[in-house]
Amino acid sequence: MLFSLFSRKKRIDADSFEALVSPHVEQLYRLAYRYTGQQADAEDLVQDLLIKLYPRTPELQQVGQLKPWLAKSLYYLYVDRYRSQKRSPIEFGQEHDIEAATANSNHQGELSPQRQDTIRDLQRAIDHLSDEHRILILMHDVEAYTLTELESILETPLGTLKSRLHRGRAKLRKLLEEGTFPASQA
Amino acid sequence: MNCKQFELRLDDYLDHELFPGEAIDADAHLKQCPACQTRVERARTLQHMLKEIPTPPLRSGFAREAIARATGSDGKKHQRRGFVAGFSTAIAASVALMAVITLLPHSLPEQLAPVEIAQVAISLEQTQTVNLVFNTAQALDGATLTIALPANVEVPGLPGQRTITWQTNLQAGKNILPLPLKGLRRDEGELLASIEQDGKIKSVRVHISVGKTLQPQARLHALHSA
Repeated sequence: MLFSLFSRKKRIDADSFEALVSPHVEQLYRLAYRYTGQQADAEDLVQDLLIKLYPRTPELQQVGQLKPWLAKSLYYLYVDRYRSQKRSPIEFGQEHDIEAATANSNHQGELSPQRQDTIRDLQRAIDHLSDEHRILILMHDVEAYTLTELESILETPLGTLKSRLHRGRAKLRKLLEEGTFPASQA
Repeated sequence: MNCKQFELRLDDYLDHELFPGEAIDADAHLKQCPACQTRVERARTLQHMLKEIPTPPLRSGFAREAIARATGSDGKKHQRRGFVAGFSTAIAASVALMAVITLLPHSLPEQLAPVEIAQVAISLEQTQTVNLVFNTAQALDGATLTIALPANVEVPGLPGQRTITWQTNLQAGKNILPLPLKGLRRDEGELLASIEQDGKIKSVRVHISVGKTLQPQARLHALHSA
């Protein structure tokens, strides 16, 4: 009997959790892919986030705006991982798996080969920005999070975000104009 | 407003965040300045392209599987896949230089003679990534990984360091160590990669040519050593 009640409660929790997070999994995956540049790493990051969040289902039920809340949780999970990687003796590259993304993306067929080359150069230039500029440009200019949302997600004042965004964009324009970012190393 | 002032406000202009008076000044300047018109056009093109950067579509069934794993509905114990510090379970599609090491820990001999398994070519003064793929039959926790570098290359950020050792965990399956190497001088050399756990060690050699072009089949030559 006790076991049966426990199983039923567990099922209800699981259903509640699924109802809360399933509308956001795709967006979380996109963000995770922007951060990591690899499809498998993006899936791992989202998977780990969901595992961490499941025990916090009651807390999730109280969150008004779940999208930025989840984005914030994913960002800090990524930062933790990134910092642990930094502790390893080799600084591992973050070159995006551009070929795979272009080949598999929904854009394929819509973009000319020349445009795809340009976008590959753009992604490589983004990969050579500092982490704070890269993350901000990816979240704001690529994934369209507003600066107001990012103020909460990144826990950074609006003014700082604006000046950081402007510096990041300026750096990106400079990299693209000069072509000073290295070509793919793989 | 002059060009310098306009350039400083370019992003605010694009984001429609200039004060009304500034916006009027900016528009007035733009009308008579072809250079700034080009700046705006390029910046807008860049903004448009940023939105076109692709992501691979979410794998069919991933959301359902991931939620089931998180809630335990799949009946499996939670186990984090990949993303161990320094390793990735992903296989980059753009891998050009690769060495594969297959480990069978339950049958790992006390000491295995190093086997030359791959050849890679690196350009002089250029940094290229050599993906060392560690293929394990089961997870290896607390393994010690040692990379001994030949004199003709170095790892960027670790100048002069010939041996790099650290502890890590390997997942069951493929673990990729993307090892950036910079060609220091036109020469041949051998990199030795060793995995040690519980006193057992397995090593492999990777022949590295700096400043020479290898044949395609040699560049991609990768043998399973087990």
